[in-house]
Amino acid sequence: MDLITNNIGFGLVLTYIAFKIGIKVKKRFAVALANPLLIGIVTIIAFLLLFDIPYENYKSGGDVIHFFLGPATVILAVPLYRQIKELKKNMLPILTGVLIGSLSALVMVAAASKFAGLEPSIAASLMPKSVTMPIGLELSEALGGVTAITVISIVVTGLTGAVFAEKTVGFFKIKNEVAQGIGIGTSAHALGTTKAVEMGDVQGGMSGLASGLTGIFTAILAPFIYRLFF
Amino acid sequence: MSMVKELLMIMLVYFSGEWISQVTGILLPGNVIGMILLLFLLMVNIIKLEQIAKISALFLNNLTLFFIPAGVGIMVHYHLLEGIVVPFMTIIVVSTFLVMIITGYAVEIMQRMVNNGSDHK
Repeated sequence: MDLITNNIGFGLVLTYIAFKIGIKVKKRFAVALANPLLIGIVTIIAFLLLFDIPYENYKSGGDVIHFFLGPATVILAVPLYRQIKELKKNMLPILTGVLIGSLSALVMVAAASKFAGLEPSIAASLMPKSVTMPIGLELSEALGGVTAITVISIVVTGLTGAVFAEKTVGFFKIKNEVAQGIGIGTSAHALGTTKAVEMGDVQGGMSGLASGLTGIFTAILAPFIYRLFF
Repeated sequence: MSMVKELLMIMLVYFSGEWISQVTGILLPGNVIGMILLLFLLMVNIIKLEQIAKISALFLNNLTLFFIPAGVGIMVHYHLLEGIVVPFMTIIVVSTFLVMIITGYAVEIMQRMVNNGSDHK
């Protein structure tokens, strides 16, 4: 098995197939849990465990796809540009919303971690959970967190957003498309943005913008909030 | 424009963003700076939407694909959560919902305040 899997092609092909399976399942079953991202990840983990293939064999190909996350983020400027009028018109509500969202995320996570009796290092790993991976990892290190745990926090947060965003904004009657996009991007960063892009151009552009802004606000606020609780 | 040229343009913007991030030591990651840079270039008409139409459609329609490898990475670190899985996951899931709702409402309330303000002028 190692002969077939120990090369870059393996991770590339497996990721692509898992992605296609995710899209197929999503089209077939119109339920929130049939999220292509969730299905893709679960399919690959199951495949690797089932055939006892080491993660490292997957990683070499997976890293190639992961690299394109960079240019993919850059391209989020396109839906944002298409919504430039909305952006200019809503500048103040957007900035206030992201600031309130970032602050409440930090306070909530710090307070809940303390209440649940988690170690300060775990709390520090959790606090950057709603920002994009590159900012989150640096922030976690600066606070004294464990970066591997921060990776899990960020991914689970993003998946929660990607899977439940549409239902949540619907249930809580957040009707304005700008508010939907900012809410999703602030709470569930770029991963949640994959869902926002599906929902529409306004939501997608705003969510991409919000995930960037949340990164800045969280990086500035996190050290103060952390010291307040620990 | 061909797909390859379009991709090269995006890569150029992306690497410029990474470069600015490293040189200035700014808190923002390079890809987010790249996004702001591309938005600026579109606004001042140096790059036109048509010039990156194919590549942006390709990426935006398949955005999910690029996040899958990071998610698979969880499988090697999961053991770190032994004994704290329940509080850990509860905090993450509950706070994600609450932040989404709080932020959405905050934006809507602010929109109403801003609109009322401009009506009275």
